Formats: sequence, C-alpha cells, structure tokens
Amino acid sequence: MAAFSHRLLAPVLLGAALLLTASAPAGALAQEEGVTLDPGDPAAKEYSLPHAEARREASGSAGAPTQQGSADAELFGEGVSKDGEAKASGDGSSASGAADGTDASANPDASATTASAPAPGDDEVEAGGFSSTTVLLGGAALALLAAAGGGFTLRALRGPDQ
Amino acid sequence: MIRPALRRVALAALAVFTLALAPATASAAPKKSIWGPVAVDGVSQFPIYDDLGVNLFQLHVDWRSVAPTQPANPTDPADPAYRWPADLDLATAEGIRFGIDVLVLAMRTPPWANGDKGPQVPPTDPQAYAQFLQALATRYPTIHHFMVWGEPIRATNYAVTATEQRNYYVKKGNAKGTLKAFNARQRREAQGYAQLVDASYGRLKALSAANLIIGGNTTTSGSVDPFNWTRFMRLRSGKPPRMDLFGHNPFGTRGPDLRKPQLLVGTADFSDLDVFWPWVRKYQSRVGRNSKLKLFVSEYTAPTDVASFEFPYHVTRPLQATWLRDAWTITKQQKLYGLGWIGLYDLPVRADGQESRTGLIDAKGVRKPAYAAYKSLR
Repeated sequence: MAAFSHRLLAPVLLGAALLLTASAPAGALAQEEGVTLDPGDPAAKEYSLPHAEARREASGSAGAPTQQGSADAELFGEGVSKDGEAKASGDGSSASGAADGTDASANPDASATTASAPAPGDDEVEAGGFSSTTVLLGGAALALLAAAGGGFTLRALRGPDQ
Repeated sequence: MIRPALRRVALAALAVFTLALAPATASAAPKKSIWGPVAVDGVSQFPIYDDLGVNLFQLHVDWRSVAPTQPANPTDPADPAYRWPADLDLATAEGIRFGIDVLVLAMRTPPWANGDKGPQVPPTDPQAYAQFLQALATRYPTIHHFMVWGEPIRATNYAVTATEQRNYYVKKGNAKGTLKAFNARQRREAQGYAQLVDASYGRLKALSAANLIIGGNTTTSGSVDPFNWTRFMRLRSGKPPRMDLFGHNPFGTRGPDLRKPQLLVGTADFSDLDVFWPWVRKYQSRVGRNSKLKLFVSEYTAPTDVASFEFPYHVTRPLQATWLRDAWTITKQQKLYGLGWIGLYDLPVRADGQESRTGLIDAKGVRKPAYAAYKSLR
C-alpha cells in the first residue's frame, strides 16, 4: 500500500503543478501579440471597444499590468465580480432586493442612482457555476481519481494466472 | 471462482462510473453558426456552409423593406403590403436541402409603425413588430430562431439615450468601480425593448412551441452598457420579458480566455462572459421567468490584415484562427447555445477605401486559417 501511495504521489503532484500553471491568472494586460490597435477617432468605428491600455489609463495605473485579485477588484461594477471573488466575499449583504423584483428600478420614474445590485454570491447566481477554474480543477481531480482508481482496481484484479 | 465474478463487478462499476461522467462532457453540442450571403452572383453559398459544418445560418430581415406600407392584415404573410425578400425564400429552401437551420434577426421600424421617426425608433405598439414576426413565421414554418432586434444598446440601431462614452470607465467619477445606473429615460427605453421581446414571444410560441425567441442581443459595449441594459430590460410589472436565449456579441481586443480579469466596468467581451452571464441570469432568469435561459453568442469575429472601419483593431490571420478556436472552447465548456461567426467573406471595400476583413475567406477567394479552424470545430 505504501508503494502504491508513492507511485500515485508523483502523478498527483505533476497534475497539481500543471493545474496551478494552467489556472494562474493571465497577468499580462499588454496588448497581445498579433493584435494591432488602430489609431484614429474611435467614433469612426462601428464599435468603440476597450483595450488593455485604456484599462490602465482608466485605473490610473501607468506602469506594470495589474494582477487579478489586487487592483482589479475595483474594476468590477458594484455587485459584479468573478465567481471566485463572489464566493470569498459575497454574503449578499449589499443586496438591494433586485432578485425579488422590488428594487427601485421597477419604478420607471425612479431617479438615477448608482447601481447597487446584489452581489452574485447569492443562490441564484451561484447555481449554474460559471467558473472555468472551478470546472477545470473539478474535472482534473475527477480524472486523477478515476485514473488512480482504475489502476488500483486493475492491479488488484491481476491474478497470478496473468 | 470468485475472481472472475469480482472482475465483472469491478468492470461494471467502472462502466457505471464512466457513464455517470458522460453527461458532463457529452451534452448537446453548441450550434455552429455563421453570418454571410445566401448567394453570390446567383450561386448558393450553402454548399460552403455545409462544408464548414454550419448548423445555424443567421440572416437579417429588414422590417422596413418587407413592410414599407402598413398591412391590412399584419399577421397574414399573404397581405399585399408584404414584400418578402428572395434571399429569405432561398435561404429557407437551401436550409432544408442541407439540413441547416435558419435564424432571422428582424429590425428597423417602417415609417407607418412609429410615426416616421426613423428606423431605429421602436414601433408605437410593440404588437406591430410581433405581428410582423408572426407573419414571417407563418410564411416560413421551418424557421424557429427569431432574434428581436440587433444590438439595441447602440443608438445607431435602437433609440437609446447614450451614456457619456466613458462614463462607465473607472476614471470618470467611478472611483470605486461602480456603474452609474440608467436614468429614468434610459429605463423606459429598455422597458420598451422588453415589450418587443415579450410580445414576440407570446405570438411566436402560440404558433409553435419549437420557436425560440432571442432577446437582449447586447454587445461588448455600446451607447449604453450591456450590464445596465440587462438589469433594466423588464416589463412594467417588473418581470423580465419571456425569452429562450439571451444574445450577446462579445467582440474585443483580447483573445477569449475566462481567466483574464474584466477589462473595464460595464463592458463584457468574450473573456468577461463569466462575469456577464451570472448578471444576465440574475436579472433575466427570475420570478418564474426564463428558467432555462441560455446564452447565445450570435456574432463574434476578429478583423485581419488592415485597419477595419468596424473595429478599432485588427489581428493577424493566424491569431484570428486562434481566437475562433478559443471562443469555441469556451462555448463548449460553458454550454452556451452556440457561437456565430460574422462572416463568411471579408466585407467589400467601401467607396472611401476603408475595409473590414472579418471573413473566413478574403476578397481573392483565399481561405484564411480561420476557415479550417471553423471547419474543425466539434
């Protein structure tokens, strides 16, 4: 059993290392290689789409690209965050009641206010699980378990007549 | 005697385990969708769509052109006021021939329906639009995908009151990264759109339960932001309009990758779908409405080679292909309804010399790497 554990440990560690590499946030916000931003008045285009430089300008960061989970947090609209952050911080305490249809926006004459939507940490948003990292980690863990379990089973079944 | 029995039990257990995992990876495949011409110089392009493996062809129908005068019987496709386009006849016929579904996007209000206020102003009565779709669906019973307007968050397409261009950027008075909510006028505009969606749903579902209504139809950014649009797109009752699919066109300057942080507050490119979709579900799939709502990327592309008059960026041809594959990976992973590429060919050079090479095939008929990439999507 000890020998089996050691043999299993190596691929598990390798898999974990690969997963960590794969799920690392894409830190570099510099425009990707192969993309050319075209100068000129954006209004002349059908679409005025933001790009990494505009993001840095908007956030007041003139230097290095921002990393997810640091200054990026303030770049999400209130109540809007990546799934992982929502799970870490969202208890729905900032909810304005929109989920039950009672928020001010139901009144078309309501004055403009700053959007204060419920954090997506509530049940409605959490159901559906749209986190790629979660899916990736879960799938990889299942695959590792299946492989280990299958190997163990086959090994256990291999008899002296084989 | 025991060992073979044990082996059979173990193998059976493994088989059950494998089958249990199968639904997670082998659910209904997303639709491979595309925009492009029905025919070029009288030659059907559907053999090319067939070669690409397309199973949902998207087509724009100009309400203003089809119904330039008010029909006496608006739900009757045989009303003499209607001038059904030959392209639509051909597309449906070719769709049947090649087993490719056809989606119609209907927009642009005729003068009689809104007091001649312009094609981007919605009809005075939302039922006028819904009746038009009912007539269309009656004439073309093989069409089951109906998109209610295209990119209504852009003032050139729909009468929305633009938010100051960069209002939703962090720097402009939104130091904490909050979105400024729609004002009362913008809320009424979004409500007007919601009425179009809901009225269309009522009439089209009454015709056939197989009809699918696509609402929202936002894009990465616009005259107003897609987040507020989604939030305030609701009926007078406060309920969201009934729909089957929420359309979104997530163009952007970044390659699709959900690990990337949201680019800017209020915008949602392909890499931001993990932020945008929960938001859509929060506001559009609630109070007993739209419980099976799915996200449909109707339009995605990346212009190549030269500056584009449509987009403020362009990419290399190999990168266009890479982005398409990456977009498909996300489409499958996240179980989206489908991915639409716009379009088959690069757009013709305009009179001012500007162009937009968004196609899978260039002006010389050369297939870009993205052609093979699209074809290989499974």
